[in-house]
Amino acid sequence: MLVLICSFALVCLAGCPSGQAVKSDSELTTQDQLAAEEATALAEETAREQALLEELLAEADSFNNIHFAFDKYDLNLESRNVLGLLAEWLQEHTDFNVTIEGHCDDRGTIAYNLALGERRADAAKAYLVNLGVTGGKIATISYGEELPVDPRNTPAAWAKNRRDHFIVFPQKQ
Amino acid sequence: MKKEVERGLSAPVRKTEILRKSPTGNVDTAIEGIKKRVESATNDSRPSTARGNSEINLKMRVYYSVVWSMIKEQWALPKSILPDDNLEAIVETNILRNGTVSNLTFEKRSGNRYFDESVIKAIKKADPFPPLPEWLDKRYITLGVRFHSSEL
Amino acid sequence: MRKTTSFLIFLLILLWGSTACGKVYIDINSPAFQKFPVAIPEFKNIGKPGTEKNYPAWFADQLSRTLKITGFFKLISKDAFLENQDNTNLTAEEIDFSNWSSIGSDFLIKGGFSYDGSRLSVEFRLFDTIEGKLVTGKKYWGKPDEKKIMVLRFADEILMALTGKAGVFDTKIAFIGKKGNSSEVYTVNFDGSDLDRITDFNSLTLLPHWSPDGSEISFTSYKNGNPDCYIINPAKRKTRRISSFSGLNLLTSWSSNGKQALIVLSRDGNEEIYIKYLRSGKLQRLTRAHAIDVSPAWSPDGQKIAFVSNRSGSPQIFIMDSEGKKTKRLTFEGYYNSSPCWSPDGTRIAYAGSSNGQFQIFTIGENGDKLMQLTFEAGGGESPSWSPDGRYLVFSSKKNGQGRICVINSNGLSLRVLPGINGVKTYQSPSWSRHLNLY
Repeated sequence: MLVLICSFALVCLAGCPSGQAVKSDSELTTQDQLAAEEATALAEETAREQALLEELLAEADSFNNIHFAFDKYDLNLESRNVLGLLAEWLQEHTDFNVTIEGHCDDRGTIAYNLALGERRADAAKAYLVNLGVTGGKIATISYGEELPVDPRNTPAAWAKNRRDHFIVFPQKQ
Repeated sequence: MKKEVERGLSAPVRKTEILRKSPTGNVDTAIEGIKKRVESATNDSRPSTARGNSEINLKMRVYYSVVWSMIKEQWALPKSILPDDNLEAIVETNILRNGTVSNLTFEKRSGNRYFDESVIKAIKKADPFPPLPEWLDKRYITLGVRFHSSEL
Repeated sequence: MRKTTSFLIFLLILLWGSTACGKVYIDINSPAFQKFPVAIPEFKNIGKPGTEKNYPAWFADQLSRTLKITGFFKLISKDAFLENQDNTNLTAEEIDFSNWSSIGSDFLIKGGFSYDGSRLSVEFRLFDTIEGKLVTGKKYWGKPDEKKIMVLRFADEILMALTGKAGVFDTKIAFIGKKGNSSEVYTVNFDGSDLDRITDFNSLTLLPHWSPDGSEISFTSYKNGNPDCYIINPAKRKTRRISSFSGLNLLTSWSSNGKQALIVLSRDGNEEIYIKYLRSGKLQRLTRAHAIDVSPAWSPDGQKIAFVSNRSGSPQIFIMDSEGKKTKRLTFEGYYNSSPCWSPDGTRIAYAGSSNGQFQIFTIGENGDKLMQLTFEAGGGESPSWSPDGRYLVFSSKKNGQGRICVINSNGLSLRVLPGINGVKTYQSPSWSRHLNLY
């Protein structure tokens, strides 16, 4: 009897083929139980991973925009602080990459602002690389004056629009 | 400057009529003003005949400035159709005693047909000018009008 | 007030001048009036009564509108007309020109039409009311739906007779219409008709430029996630991608023969100007400075290239030869000058220059002389582009935060908004085509 149960268990563990002969009630219960437990464990693991990922994504999202003076792409102290934190985080979570978007306010001409936005993104990238982040994990793109966060025509709005924006995202599996 | 030119464009005909109604009125006030300036600038030891001559010349020059004003008012030409900025045409015309124009001819053409046509048109539209001053002992005067395409 | 002052100044000048005993000269330095005054009464039905439809008013209105957008004509209001409107006289002998010259109308256009149910014939006549003669007259035949073409053809005749050049009615302006995060390329005729959306990518689209033969439009689009450069053939609705390096791909000028283009790429580390050979795809690098170098514009003869660089501290316009050598600075006034565009005759460059914290449109001689500010608008001016005859510039200007496409005569007069473009979008980056033989 014990041998029979054990061999059934072995077969079940290996993966039960269909068209199995009807088992006794107690055997079925055990198999179901095991399967159910497995499923639960898997779900719990997935949920934990999901929660961890969401936490990480929230952290990734938390890096503020850094800002620039008119027609400049120098990094001020505050920008360097933000970049320092970002560099640390990226080195800690090596399966994340970052895209740096460079933006301008709408004064100035469209083509020149595309170049200026690029300089702003490149400046941030260079700083991260300097702090030890692998260059290959950092992509840059410029949107010039095309995507302001504040469309108003005031110095305060312009200051908000002159920015680098960070999109931190997990690498594809 | 250009904007002011644009805005001052309505009803040139009406403005000309006002000028025609009382050119002498304007002239007399102007003469008074200029006289004062001339007297203060002139040397006191000048003989009286010289002063008399300058008054006659003064009065004619005032007439010329009325003619200038009336022609300029009527000169219509979109400058942006001209090839460059330095066109000059000189038109010679006689003005008869009653102020009408006669013997309109080119002393110098600008070389640009549209420019030349526009200056002749301006003088024709301004015609007739005020009658020549009564004290002027001539049957007609001859005037050369130099038209330039740009503000100097 | 101003008249009395200039009056007196004139007298003072004469007073200290020479006392000529012979002919006296007077100088007039500029026309007072920069438009031709013209009157266009309703056209007359010279065919069977009852067949006129709405043509009498339609022809007068359409011709008025067409002449008005040239910026060279002042239309005399119908209320001022002295002539009896039932008057059907179309020939110089029968017209009393004093009816027209006395209301300030130097020119008069009269027309007659006849419609027999299938064919429309229209006569147009332009008179000089001061000389009292016919300047030019034309007769056209066609189908009723060709009546607009007849108007445009005669408008060209009027312009030819009075200004020496036909009009630019057969040209189109390409521009960007933007709403939110999405922008597309549009085209419209110079007179505001035939508005057409050319692209449909639902992403950011920038910097449209007509090819010299008018068959294609280049532009930059983010539809693939990066600012790549494309060329579209609007008639065939075919698009091809011509440059997709990482970073910027900005085409801003075609060569006069359409075989090469000037493109800005940042693939070598920073923004530099290249010549791209469109058939072979070959690239020739022109600039090597560490500065930002953008917005290149070829001179019409292909010998020189104007471009924007901040190598001297802030964005200014420079000129180099077509090999990228002999670079010298063109603009010295203002702290930010950009978007250069050569006039079709190669003598002047239009650009957007900073003035009182805004951009306005300027033109400057290619040797740096004769700097002229054209716009003084509260909404500023950017992205100038010349008409193919060099008489006009199209540019974008803002009103209430929204961009509008505007046209101005090249001497700074007759600023107007291009008709036919409206909506909730903001409009920018216009580019003027060459003559397209649309009619």
